[in-house]
Amino acid sequence: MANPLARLDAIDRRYLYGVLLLIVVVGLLVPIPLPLAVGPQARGFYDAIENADPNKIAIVSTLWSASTQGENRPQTSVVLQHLMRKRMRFALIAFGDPQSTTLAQELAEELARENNYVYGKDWINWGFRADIAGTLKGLVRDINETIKRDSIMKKPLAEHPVMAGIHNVKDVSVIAEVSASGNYVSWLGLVVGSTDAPFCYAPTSVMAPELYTYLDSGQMKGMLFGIKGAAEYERLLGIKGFTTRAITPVSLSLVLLFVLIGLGNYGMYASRKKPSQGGTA
Amino acid sequence: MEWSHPIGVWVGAIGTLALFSLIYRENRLYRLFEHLFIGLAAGYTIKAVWTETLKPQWWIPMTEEGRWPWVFALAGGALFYTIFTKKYNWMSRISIGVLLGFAAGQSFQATANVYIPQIRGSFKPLWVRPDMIPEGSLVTPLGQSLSNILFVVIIVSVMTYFFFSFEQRNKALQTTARTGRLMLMFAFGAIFGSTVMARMALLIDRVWFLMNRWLGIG
Amino acid sequence: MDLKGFLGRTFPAASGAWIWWSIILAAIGCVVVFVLLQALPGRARKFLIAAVTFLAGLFYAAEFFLPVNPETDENILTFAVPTVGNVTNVLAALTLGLGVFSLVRIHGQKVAKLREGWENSVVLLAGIVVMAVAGLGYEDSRFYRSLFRDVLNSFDAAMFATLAFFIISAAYRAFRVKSAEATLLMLAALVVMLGQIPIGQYLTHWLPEKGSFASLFRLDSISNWLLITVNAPATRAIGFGLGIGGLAIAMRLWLSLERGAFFEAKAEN
Repeated sequence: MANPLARLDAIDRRYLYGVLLLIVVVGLLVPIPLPLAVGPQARGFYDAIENADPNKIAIVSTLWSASTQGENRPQTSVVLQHLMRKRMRFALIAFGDPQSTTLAQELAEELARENNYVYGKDWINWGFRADIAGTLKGLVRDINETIKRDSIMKKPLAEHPVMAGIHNVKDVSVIAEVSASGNYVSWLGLVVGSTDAPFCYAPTSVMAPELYTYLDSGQMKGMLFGIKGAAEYERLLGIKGFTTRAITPVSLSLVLLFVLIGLGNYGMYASRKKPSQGGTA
Repeated sequence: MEWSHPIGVWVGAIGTLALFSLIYRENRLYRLFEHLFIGLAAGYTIKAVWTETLKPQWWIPMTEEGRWPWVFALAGGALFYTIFTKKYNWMSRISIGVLLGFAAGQSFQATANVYIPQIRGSFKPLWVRPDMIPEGSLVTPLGQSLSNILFVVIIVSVMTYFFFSFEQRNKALQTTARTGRLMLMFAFGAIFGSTVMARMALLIDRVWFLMNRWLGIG
Repeated sequence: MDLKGFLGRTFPAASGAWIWWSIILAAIGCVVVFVLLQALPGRARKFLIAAVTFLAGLFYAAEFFLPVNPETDENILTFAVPTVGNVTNVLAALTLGLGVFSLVRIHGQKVAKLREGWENSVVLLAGIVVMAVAGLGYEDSRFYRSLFRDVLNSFDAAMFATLAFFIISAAYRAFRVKSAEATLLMLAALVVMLGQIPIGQYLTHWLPEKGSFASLFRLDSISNWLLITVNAPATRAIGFGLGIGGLAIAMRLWLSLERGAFFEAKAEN
């Protein structure tokens, strides 16, 4: 009789999908009330905004579409909420994917209503730019000449009160980039050395591990580790938003991952045969 | 202005379920919504390119501010489209060359600014004195020294692993490269775990949309 | 030399009716240049592409390397940086249309010839038209906004969310711990990720969160230490290789030293 444990490495994928879906639904409905420790990266991000010069403007740069909104949207949300709580003026700018500017604007409009932020006076949308490097080089020299008009009212930038006294990146208090791509290289390479403004980055979790080297070198002052980083930021802000709820299914699904890897390996060894597919990792 | 409409939510939810049906097997409903998605995304690109870039940065300066030389930018952009013709497609390389040239020219500054701080940050003190520990930190000088030594060893070993200019026959080099390979596996393990986290976050977002926005649960 | 003034005199801004006359004349000039370009022999075409690439790269390289006036922090080329950035931005934006053009061409042909799956192509083309017309003509309408937010965004997010199922299934089937490398990869993923999530952090929650030496042994502290002390130098070393390689590629592109069908064979067609 065949060893029943040997079948552990051959569970039908539909059962796996079903279990995954189930724990996500249950996790969303019944959040486990476990606190999330705030790491130094999220705190660094928070402190950079907390200590930013209120007389200057903050830049919130976005490069994400709906495909990664599960992580990037809550990240953008917590950063904007913090800026509005501090009553700091800010500018949105979007690169890479045209959806980015509309998604960030939608979010900013929603939060602006809640926080009595007036467009043109307290915040502005610089719009979407297809070319990152050329635009960043321009921002270093002359923001008005580079951006020309805002994205919503299509008025020359200088006509908006929020842009009073803002000429180039030296007039920027903090740069926060929320991204699903590796454009931090452009910011670090073309802007960061030209201004005192701290640069903080909110990437998707996929990219987060590769960014610790820039945190170590001090080129980045803070980072939000995907959805978990947004949840940490919510804790710092003292709010319970979507990520506080979502961190439970995130945790459960990662536990499921490790359990499944364990089962697969146990099944392989139990069957005392080499696996027919897959490599070492 | 409201960004949402119940009919839109229903279409979005049905489309989400149709696209999810791929995980069971490829089917006609999935194909249909996949094509609809690509069409809408392409249509949105047309809209965004015009309203966000071409109109404010090219059309208005040219037609309202009298900066007529912007015509040349359109001509340069039009050259890209010669790629679809056999006779003229060589011209697309002029515009592609301009973009590549600009990118190459920027790479000097970008490389210097990105990597010089990285190189500088790699020269860590291998013996940390108590006065070098930040105030309030719980790390001991010995602990920090060991961390720094490990940091430098890993950089050197991983760089050795990627050094292909000559065959690594020397035993010490082989050991160093092997250490580098193992350390790389560690980094890849961290990236693997975080990749799973990222994908789960995307699924959770969708499930929450279906539960909350569509069905009103939660 | 006042380059800015020279350019201003050479290309003065037009006003009134002269705006359109200037545009039309410049457009005619472009057509003439286009015709002349097509008359160039193969070698001249190759030289032209190399020269244009070099000059474009020279702008940013020179702007970076040329010394600046300490009072203004600018050199002779600095004034042009925003304008050149806008030009590349417009060019890059026009490249986005290439994909749309290609889609319309391929699916248009499919519909015209009623090839298999033409019904889906009709839906795709209708999607392009509806979204573009709604976005360009009725940007502030609820129809457009809902089409973007509820429909397009949902589809986009759903496409990527399916990856969650596939990654779980792939990890279960393919992640076999058979070597030291695979073991390390598995352990790294386990320890690092457990340290990032509340359930993992709960395993060492009885240790103080901060203010005590024992806090260093919490799972989130260990995870963080591993990411900074082991993961960061490994990715940094990869980055050094990428940086050197990227710079070498940039130099080869800038100087048109890159060899292959794209830069050599076709230019002489």
